[in-house]
Amino acid sequence: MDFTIPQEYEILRKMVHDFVVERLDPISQKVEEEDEIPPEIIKEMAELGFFGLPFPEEYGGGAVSKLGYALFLEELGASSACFSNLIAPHVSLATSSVFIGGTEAQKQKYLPPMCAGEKLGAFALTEPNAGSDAANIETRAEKKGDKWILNGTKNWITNGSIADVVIVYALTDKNLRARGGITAFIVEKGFPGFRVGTVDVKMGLRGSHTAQLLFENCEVPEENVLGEVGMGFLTAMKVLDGGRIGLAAGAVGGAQRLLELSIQWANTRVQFGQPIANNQAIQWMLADMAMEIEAARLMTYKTAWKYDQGLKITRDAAMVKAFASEMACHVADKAVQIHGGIGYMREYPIERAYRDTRILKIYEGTNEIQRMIIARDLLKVGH
Amino acid sequence: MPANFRILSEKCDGCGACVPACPFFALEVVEGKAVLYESCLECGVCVPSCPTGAIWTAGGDSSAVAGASGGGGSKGRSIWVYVPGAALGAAAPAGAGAAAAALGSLGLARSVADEQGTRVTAVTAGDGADTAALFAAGADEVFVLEGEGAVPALLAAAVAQETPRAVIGVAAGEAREVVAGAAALAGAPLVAGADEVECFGERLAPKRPLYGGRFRAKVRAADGLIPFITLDRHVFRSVRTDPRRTGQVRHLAIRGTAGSQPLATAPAGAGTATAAPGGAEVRRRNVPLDAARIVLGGGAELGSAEAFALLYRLADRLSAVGGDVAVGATKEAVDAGWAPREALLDGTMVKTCPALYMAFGVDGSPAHNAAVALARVVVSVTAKADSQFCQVADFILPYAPGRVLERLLEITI
Amino acid sequence: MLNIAVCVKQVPDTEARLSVAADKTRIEEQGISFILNPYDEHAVEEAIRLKEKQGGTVTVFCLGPARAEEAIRTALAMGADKAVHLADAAFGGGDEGTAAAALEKAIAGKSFDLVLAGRLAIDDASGQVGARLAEKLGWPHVTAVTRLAVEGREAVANREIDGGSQVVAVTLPAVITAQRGLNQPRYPKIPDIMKARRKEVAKVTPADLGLSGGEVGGAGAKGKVAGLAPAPGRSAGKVIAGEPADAARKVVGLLRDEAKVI
Repeated sequence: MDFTIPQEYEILRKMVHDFVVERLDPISQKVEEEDEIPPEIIKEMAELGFFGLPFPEEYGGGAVSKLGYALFLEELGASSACFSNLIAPHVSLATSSVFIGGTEAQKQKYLPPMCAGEKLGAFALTEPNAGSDAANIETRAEKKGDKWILNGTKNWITNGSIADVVIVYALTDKNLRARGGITAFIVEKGFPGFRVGTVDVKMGLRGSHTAQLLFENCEVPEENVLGEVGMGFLTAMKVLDGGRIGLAAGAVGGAQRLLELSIQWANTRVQFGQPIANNQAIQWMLADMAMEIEAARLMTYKTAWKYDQGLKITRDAAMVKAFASEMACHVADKAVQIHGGIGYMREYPIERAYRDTRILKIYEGTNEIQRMIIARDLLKVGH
Repeated sequence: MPANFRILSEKCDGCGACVPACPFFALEVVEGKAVLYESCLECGVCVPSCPTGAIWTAGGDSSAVAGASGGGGSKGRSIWVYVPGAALGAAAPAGAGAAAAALGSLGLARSVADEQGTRVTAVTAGDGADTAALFAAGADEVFVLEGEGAVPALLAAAVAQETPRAVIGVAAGEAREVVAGAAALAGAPLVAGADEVECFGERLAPKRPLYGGRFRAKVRAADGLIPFITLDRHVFRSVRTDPRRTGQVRHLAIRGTAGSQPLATAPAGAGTATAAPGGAEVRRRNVPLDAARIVLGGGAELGSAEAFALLYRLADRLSAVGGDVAVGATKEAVDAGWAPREALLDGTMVKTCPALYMAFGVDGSPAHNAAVALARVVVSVTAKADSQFCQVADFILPYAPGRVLERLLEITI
Repeated sequence: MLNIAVCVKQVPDTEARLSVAADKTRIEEQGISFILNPYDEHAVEEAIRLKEKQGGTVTVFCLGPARAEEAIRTALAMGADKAVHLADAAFGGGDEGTAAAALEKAIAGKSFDLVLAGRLAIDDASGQVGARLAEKLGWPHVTAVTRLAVEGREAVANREIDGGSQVVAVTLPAVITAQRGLNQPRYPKIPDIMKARRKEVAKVTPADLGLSGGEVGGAGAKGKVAGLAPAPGRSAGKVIAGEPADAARKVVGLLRDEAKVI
């Protein structure tokens, strides 16, 4: 067993670390206030290859393994969550849908601009009545001539309001549903009948936007059926498995930053004539934070490694998603507690992180769904 | 282990008095007993510091040991100080940093030479040097190097010919390049940027900061070699000048030199400054926070953009004497629009490690304090005596920062 | 066409927590991370920009243990073409003189037009290797350069001096060392980081350079660190009383004469 990080990924993580410290951290507060990432920063990230790193070179990607991608998101996660919420849904969900489920022609057409960050992707599965119960979607697609006509509403779609390419999951056979009745479509901004509805007002994640997407007799050409008709649900599940590793990695990076800030504060904040770090109550909180972070980190790396080996990761991915997101919430709570009053103030990043962290237990499959997946796998006959 | 020194553990009571006495950091108290490390040079300085007589020496007499550790046979050899002709030339602005530093290095050499009972030789090349100033600052004699080839080669050849005890220069500008180049040609060791030089017999023991000032190292030259030392230009500045002192000027003709070709100077014009002696263009540079030697920080307590702007004036003044100066700001000051975002110190994890950080009206959030944690000397000016930041400051001025700034601008620094 | 050699060093990360090793002459290396020396990043960037403008090649030279390959690959990911790694254990424990001597053997006679390096390495901050290398090569050198223009066989450089800068022209080949401000080093792009794995890094030994064991590393060093200790810690702050004007005068005096920082 070798825990050495390959040299190229050490270089990668240092580059991202420097970028976070030099470019992203200085604007985080501004992004929080203005609720928007400056376009020139997005351009810079695109030029550095942030939008295509795990995809093969021939499609303009960085040919980075899942482990490298996890290390990347761990570093990026140290900054404001809005930055990884720009990149990860684009890479892990939208672009991965094309890569995993698309035909060769679709990969040739969509992957290069998506990897280059010229076209931003969104992943549209969730609906008003289909969150955890993803197979219960109501958006329908009907074939009319050489076109498919989409009707329905997608909810809380990250990057939905700014995306150029949306992977839309729709029902093509009501009776089959998850077993061959759901199909994915590549919908481009500007397709007739597609429009962005309300942009959501959220608890946190300012700078990252989720929106309602409306499909009203939206026309999608036949060649934009992602892969084959009826394969949508399978593609979505595969994509989401891989995405969970990325979410966990970001949670680890964010929690690590909160631990560092807490150590810094504990060492400098003086009460009763001594730094609060001298109090065992504080020390235990710091130790608990460090333990949980390390556990989540190792689970993340191992799951990424298994993915890179081509092994099945459904249970591992569910476990690391649930564990890392809960870890991040514990850590954020302790960070606020250690910081005391200042931890509750808008001027300091702890409060922001506390709000931003909460979503981790909800999106990309609630932790309850993850536990269902884990239990189902544990109880499987022949396990 | 050092052959002639040992700690007698039955006598040692672990008081630690010897630890600061050792110039080579070779002593430490471990589990209640002093431990002597490999780096011991057997100089003997620690012996008298021990109240229980626990440091055993083979010779039994510490002063004899200290004397014996000297370079031997170097008696009468002088201490050389390389001074670029331009630094003290007629064209050099009076009190300019380069001249002050050059004279400061002479001052250090003078005190070493007095302690060791030898002479100071100021060495220069070309005709630019103001020899009267060199004598006044402590030189006993001045050598003017003459010959074909570049200055480093001339200096190296002169060193081979005259075998001085040590060659010293300022770790800045031309002297830094010339002394390093000469050391290379002479095959000699060079301790660069020393900020402390002690004498042990005839041996010089320079200390220098490493790792952004977080550590200090003592560097030793191999036996029988002439050590080259460049000095931190900001540390060795004070010099007792005596205009009545004079001495002999000797023109040293050097033959058969090799090495790098001389630097050509760029033609003047097109808005560029020339490299003519002493004619360096002096202008304000936009120094990044992490490269500055001095950082001035401003916070909310300054109260206005006008008060904050005084920091820039102070920076200009300090840069004339103290090297690169940058102005930083707390988050509150940046948010108030008094300073650009590039000046932000808090939470950006900018790695400043200045020799001096002066904070004006800074209350010291952890993010701010972390950004300046590596500063060598910290001054806090704030009327809020309970400021978090005062806890990490070396000097605290409990007054309104704007008023102190105004006063500082009135004083000649 | 410019053939440029860039000398780089791997140094402890500025964020690393450092401690003195058991022998009291070195930093404990275990458990800390290392980076490409920030000043060398400027040198690499300048070399790549010159190559992009005028054509030619950029070859990285690095003296350091096996771990230093990461710094080399970082430079390759930024855009350097190939590298020579003086990685043999015999090179270890040397001083600035042995480093310059070994680099000179590796660089001399290879028809380089220009050697670029950082003004200093942030670990020992000695700033000698560039000047020593130039003397060994017999080339002119300019240190702490904040602006560089190369035209034909001439380089015009702005050199930092006390309180200002100087413009110096040198004939190529020459050695130039980079000061902060020379440029803004690029971040290596992710695809380039991955592609840098395939670039050539030649490992050389003292014998390959025609050097004997006694001329390199600790055996050849003329200056040795005899002792290393943490800088003294900060004691309790001193409150300077009196009227603001007096206090201002007092603090200036203390900073100048006692702390010696201005």
